[in-house]
Amino acid sequence: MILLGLFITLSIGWLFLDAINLDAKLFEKLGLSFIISSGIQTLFFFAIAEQSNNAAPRLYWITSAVLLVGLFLLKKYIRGSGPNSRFKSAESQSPLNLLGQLALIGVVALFMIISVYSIYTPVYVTDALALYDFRAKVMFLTGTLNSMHEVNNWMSYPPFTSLVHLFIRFLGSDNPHIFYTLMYLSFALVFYAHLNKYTTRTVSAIGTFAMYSSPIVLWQSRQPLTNLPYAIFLCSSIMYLLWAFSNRKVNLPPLLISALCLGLTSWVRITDPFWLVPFFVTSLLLFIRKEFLLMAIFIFISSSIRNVWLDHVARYSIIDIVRSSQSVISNIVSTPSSPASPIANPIAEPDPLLSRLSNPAVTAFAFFWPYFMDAVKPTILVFAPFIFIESFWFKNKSQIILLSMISLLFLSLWAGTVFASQTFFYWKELGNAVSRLSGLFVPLMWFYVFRSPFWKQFKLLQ
Amino acid sequence: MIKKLKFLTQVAIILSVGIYFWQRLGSGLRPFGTVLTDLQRMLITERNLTYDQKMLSLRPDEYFLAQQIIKYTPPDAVIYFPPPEYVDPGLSIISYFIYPRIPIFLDSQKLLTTRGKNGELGNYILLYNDFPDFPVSASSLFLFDSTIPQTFENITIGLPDPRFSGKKGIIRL
Repeated sequence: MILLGLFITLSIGWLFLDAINLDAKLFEKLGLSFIISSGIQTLFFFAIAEQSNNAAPRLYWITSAVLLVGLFLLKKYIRGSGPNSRFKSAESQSPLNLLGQLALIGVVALFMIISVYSIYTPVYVTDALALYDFRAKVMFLTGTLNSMHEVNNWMSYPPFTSLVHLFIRFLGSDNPHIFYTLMYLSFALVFYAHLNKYTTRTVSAIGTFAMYSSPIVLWQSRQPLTNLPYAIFLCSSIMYLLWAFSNRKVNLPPLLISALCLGLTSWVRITDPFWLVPFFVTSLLLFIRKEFLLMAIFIFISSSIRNVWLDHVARYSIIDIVRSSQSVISNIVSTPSSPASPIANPIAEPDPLLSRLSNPAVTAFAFFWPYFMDAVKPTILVFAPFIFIESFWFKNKSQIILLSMISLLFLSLWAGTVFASQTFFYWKELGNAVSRLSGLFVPLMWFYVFRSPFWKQFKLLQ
Repeated sequence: MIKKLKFLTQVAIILSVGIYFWQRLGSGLRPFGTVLTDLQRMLITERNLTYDQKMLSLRPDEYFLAQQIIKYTPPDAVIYFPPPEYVDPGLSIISYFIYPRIPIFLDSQKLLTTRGKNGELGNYILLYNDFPDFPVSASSLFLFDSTIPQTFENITIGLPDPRFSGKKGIIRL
């Protein structure tokens, strides 16, 4: 049954990508199909279930069938008026040397090891037991969507993860870990394909292995948390945005994917500010290029997904969504659910230096920097010198946009911490959450590093 | 000058890549040993463990308590849980395991007239960490910790009581 669910998920994504005429290779389409299909399926299921307050298995099969047929017809209709772009691609056709092959074997080996962990281990992390998987369990046992309101703080996070877990229960398993493992592998395929648009296959393979083996994200790929899907949607949105603007003429299919992935970030975590960065950068670039229609489409897609959950919460709760996030976070951070951090708990041992810093921005920075570094180290070791060489020698416009976005995301994290320090009395307990959230910087940093022309001078990497 | 700078930057990059691999290798070798042990455990020695056995090793305290609560209460039970000063905050995840039983976490006032989310009143109290520390007339009390299950009928409980102090159990009101 799980394999059937996987087939349905891939088919829906594949048909969608065909319908929008995305020019991509087989492995990119496979990876992207899985990523966006999980979002499309959960959104569509939620929209229908909300009308009838039904969350029974039958609805899953009906919505899946409707999506399959609808997208197939849409694809037929659109294909009638446009060229079939299947497997046409301008990507690098350079051979994959032994080093690259070893890197890809490394990715496959890591995937298999993580899969064993995922399949073996039941859901046990606090966050999932307190909210994500609990909502799925309640909906599954009652067969109604609104029964998730029985769970404390149900409104604090959108139901993406819970609905994925619910689908997995419909398919006969109560262990959702494998979804996260597969989603990470899918992202690795997309990551490889995108690197391959700018550099050789060997460099792309090594870059993919570097990204895939990064400890924080690899750990998240076997945990039923929101961090990994959020990072994947955000990073995919940025990568497709860069592709959309890689030529003079804005490339519509990648722009649509970027908008969809950006909207889906809000379908995973609604209160995080990071979505604002690609949103404003894309809007600005489209405005400068006077693509007002595309700008309207982009804003509509990315914003309307955001409203799905906000409307539901507004309808069923008068409680302030931010306030509810506070309480769930305080629950979550009070019990460790991530690998032991080497950083001492600042609440337990107040740092005298920290307490002397009165400026909130400086205080927030001093607080979150070690947690941020804990997550991105040692990636940042390689990333830092590339900022210098890319900015002063290669001066690639696309790299400058990417670096700007990474910097803005960092500023968002900082601003978010300042906001938290001024709003929540327990903000210093959020160190683990900051660390886990900072995982989203890792794929972007590796993407920046391996897109650089720097690697082209090494014969070993050709 | 610019050429020299460019050369120095390239050296810095190569050095940073070297340091990266050195660092990853250093931190990766030990976990690799752990991974091999884990794989052996998951694929060979402990491959047939049940969900209960796995959960008892992953979340021993919460899962054991949940199992006992499930054993001694009906699915429609509404259970008063001690206020935060008596319990580890992590205990709140027990709601997941005991569903559809409803836990009501009391506040520091410890009022047994506290209602749940849908207005329901509790019909059980969790005996935990010397709570309840006020007199409660119980129709029955089941103690979890003893090797032989202990049951008391029609009893008034008010800790400290040497019979129940430090023990866990469920009180039916």
